[in-house]
Amino acid sequence: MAKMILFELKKIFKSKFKLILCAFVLLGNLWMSHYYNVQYISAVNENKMELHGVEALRYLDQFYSDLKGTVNATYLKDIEMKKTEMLKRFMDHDKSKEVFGEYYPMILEINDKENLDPELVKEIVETTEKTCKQLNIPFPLSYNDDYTYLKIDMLYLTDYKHTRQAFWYFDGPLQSTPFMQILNEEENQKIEYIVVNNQVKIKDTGFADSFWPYEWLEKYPVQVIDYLNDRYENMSSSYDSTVGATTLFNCISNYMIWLLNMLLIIVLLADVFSTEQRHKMDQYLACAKEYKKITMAKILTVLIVTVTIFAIQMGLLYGFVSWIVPIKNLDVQAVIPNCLMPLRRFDLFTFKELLIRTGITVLFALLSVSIVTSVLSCLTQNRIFSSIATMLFVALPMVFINNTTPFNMDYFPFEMLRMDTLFGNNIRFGFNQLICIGENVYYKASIICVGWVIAGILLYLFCYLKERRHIVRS
Amino acid sequence: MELRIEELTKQFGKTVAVDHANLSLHEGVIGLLGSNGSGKSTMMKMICGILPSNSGNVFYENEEILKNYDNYVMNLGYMPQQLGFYPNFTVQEFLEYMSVVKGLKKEFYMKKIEELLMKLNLEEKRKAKIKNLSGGMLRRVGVAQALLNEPKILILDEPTAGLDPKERISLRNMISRLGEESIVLLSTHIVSDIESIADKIVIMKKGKILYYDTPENLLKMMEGKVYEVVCDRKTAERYMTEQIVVNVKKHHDQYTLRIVSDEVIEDGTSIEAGLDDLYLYHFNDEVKLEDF
Ligand SMILES: Nc1ncnc2c1ncn2[C@@H]1O[C@H](COP(=O)(O)OP(=O)(O)O)[C@@H](O)[C@H]1O
Ligand SMILES: [Mg+2]
Repeated sequence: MAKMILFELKKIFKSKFKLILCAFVLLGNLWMSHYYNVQYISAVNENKMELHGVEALRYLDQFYSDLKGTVNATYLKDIEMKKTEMLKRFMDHDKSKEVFGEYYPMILEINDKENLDPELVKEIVETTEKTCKQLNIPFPLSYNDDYTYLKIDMLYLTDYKHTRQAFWYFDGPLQSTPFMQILNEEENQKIEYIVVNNQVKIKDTGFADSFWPYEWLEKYPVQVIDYLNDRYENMSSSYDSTVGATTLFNCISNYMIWLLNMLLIIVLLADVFSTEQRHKMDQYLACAKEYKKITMAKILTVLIVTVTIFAIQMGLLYGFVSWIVPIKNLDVQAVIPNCLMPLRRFDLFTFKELLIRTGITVLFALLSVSIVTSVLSCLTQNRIFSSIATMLFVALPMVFINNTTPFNMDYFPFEMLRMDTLFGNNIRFGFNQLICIGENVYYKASIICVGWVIAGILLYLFCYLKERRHIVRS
Repeated sequence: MELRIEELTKQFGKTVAVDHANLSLHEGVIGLLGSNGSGKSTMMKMICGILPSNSGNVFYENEEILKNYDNYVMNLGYMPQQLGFYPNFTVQEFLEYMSVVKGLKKEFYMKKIEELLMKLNLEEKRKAKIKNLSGGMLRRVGVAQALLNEPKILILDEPTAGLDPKERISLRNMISRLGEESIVLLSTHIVSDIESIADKIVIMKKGKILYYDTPENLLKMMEGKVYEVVCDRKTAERYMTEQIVVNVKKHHDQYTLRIVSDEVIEDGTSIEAGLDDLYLYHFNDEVKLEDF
C-alpha cells in the first residue's frame, strides 16, 4: 500500500506547474502573514525611536516580558504605582500646571481612584472648569455624580507616542478589563444563577458582566453556565508577554492564507480519481490484480496530501513567527495585547487551546475541501468540473453577505475558517457556539469536524463502491 | 491450457460490436484479423474482463473468468489499442507502477524490468518521460508492461501499429517465442504482421467470427481463386470495377493484375494464394481503393 501511495503522490506531484504552485502558495502565504500581521505594527522605544514590523514586535515582546507577574492585589498596586510614575515622567508639567493650578500634584495622585473625598473632587472640578473657560480649552476631567471619582481625560503629554504605548498597557488594570479577568480571586466574578422550572435565572452576570445581558445568558442550559464558570475559575492568572503566541494566532487565523491553500488543494486533487480515465490508464489498471487497492491508496493519498500541506504551512508560519519573537507562554490566558489587535480577547482560553482549536478547525476545513473535490472527481471523472464545483462550494457562503443564508453555512469550509464558527459572535467567550448534548457541553466547531469525519467516511465508501468493479468506462 | 469463449455478445446501442462469438484458444500465436470496426478490440476487452458482455462468457481452464478474477488476471497480460500513460512518469516508473498494481514482488519485478527493457531495446529510454517517447517506443513500453507478470494469456491489441519495419520484425520474433508457452492473441488489420508467425488465425467481420483455423487451411480454401492476368489498360480498368483486384503492377503499357475471384477468369493463370488474398476476399466490400 505504501508503494501505491507513493505512486499516487508521483501522479500528482510530477508536474512542474503543481510544484511551483505549491511553493508559490506556501511561501506566498508567509509574505501575506508578514503583510497582514507584522508589517503594520509599530512601537516607540524608550529612546523615542519609532520601530516597525519585526523590530516593533521584538521590542514589544521585551516590553511585556519586563512587566510579567501574577495578577493579584499586589501586582495591581504595583502597576498602578508604575502608571503614576509614568504619568509624572511624561506629563507636560508646565501646561498641566497652567490648567490645574495648585491641584496638579494632587490630581496625579488621585487620578482614576475611587472613594475620594467629595468635597475635594468638587473643588477641583469647579476650579478647573473656570480655568478652562478662561483659557478657552476643553474640560479635561471626568468624574461621577457623587464626586467620589476623578479621572484625567485629556493628558498633556510631552512624548505622545511612547506614552501612548505605555498607557495602553497601563489602562488595562485601571479600567479593570483584562486584568480583572485574570484576577479572579473574588467570588462574585463567577456567574451566579438559580434554576426555576428548569429555566436558568441569572442573579449575577459575574465576569461576563459587561458583555452579556441576563437575557442572553438565560438562554443557555445550566451545563453551559457551569462550564463557563469552571473554565473561568481555572484560568491562569499570570501576565506575561504573549506577543509571539498572538502573532502566530493572528497568522493562522487569517482566512486568506487557508483560502489559498484550499485553492491549492483543489488544483492538486481535482484530478485524483479522474486521471486514469483522462490518460487512458483505466484499461491497464482494471485488469490488474491489486486494482481494488488503488481506490484506497487514492483516498489515503488525498488525506496525506491535505495533512502535509497543512503541516508544512503551519510549520512555515511557526518558523516565521519564532524567527521574529519566541513563541512562549502558551498556557497563559489569551489576552492579546491591545497594540496588536484591540478588542481581541479570549478570556476563557489559553493560547494553547486557541491555537489547537483554530488549527484543528482549519485542518478539517481543508480536509472537507479535499474530500469534496476528490469525491467529485470520482463521480464526474472530470477535473475541470470537480474543481469548479468545489470552488463554488467553498465560495458559496461568501455570496450570502449579512447572514442571509438559506441554511446553516457553518459547515462550509470557508465559514469554518472564520472566528464565528470557532468562538461565536462574541469571540471572548464563544457562548453561542457551545452546544449541550445530554450532560456534556461541546463546541460547535468540534461537532462540525465530527460531522465532516462522518460525511467523509460515507462519501469515500460511496467512491469505493463505485470504483470497485473492474470495468473500464467507455 | 485453454481459453474458451462462448456465445460472447456485445452491443453498443444498435451496433452489435461482437456477435455470438465462439472460440477455443490454446498455446500459440493467434492472429485476430479484421478491418477497423469489426469488433476486435471489443472482444479483447471482454476476454480481459474489463468490459461486461451482454451475453456469453469467457472461460479459462473451464472456469468463468469473473468468478475468480484475481486469479485470472495474474495470468493475464493486456496491451490495449489506445495506449494510456501518465505523461510525467519515466519508463522505469511506469513499469514499476504496473508491477506494483499487478501485485508483483519487488525482487521479482526489478529483475524483470531490466530484462524487458533490454529485450525491447528500451534501456536508454529508462529515465525518459513517457510523454517524450515516439509512437514506436510507446508501443514497446505497452508490450513491456503486459509481459511484466509473465502472463500465460497475452492479449495484444494492434501491437505493431506505428512501428517501423525493424521494430516490427523484432517484435514479431519476440511474440513468436512467447507463443511457445502461452496463448498470445494479437489483433491487427495488417496481414503481413501475422502471416509468418500465427499458428492460427481468427477472421472477424462485423462482429462475427467468420473463420478460425490454421493459415494453411485457410489458404487451402482459397485454392483456385487467385489469378494473375496480364492485359492492357482498358481491360485492367474493367477488371478493377468487376473483380477483387489485390495488386496491380504496370510495366510499360502492360498491366499485371492479381485477382481474387470465385468465378474462373478466362485469360488468367491460377496462382498460389496468400493471406492478403484471403483478407481482400472477405473484406473487399469494406476496402476502398484509396486505401492503397
Ligand atoms: N464504447 C463504445 N461505444 C459505442 N460504440 C463502440 C464502443 N466501442 C466500440 N464501439 C463500436 O463497436 C464496433 C467495434 O469496435 P472495435 O471493437 O473498436 O473494432 P476494432 O477494434 O476491430 O477496430 C465499432 O463499430 C465501434 O464503433
Ligand atoms: Mg481496435
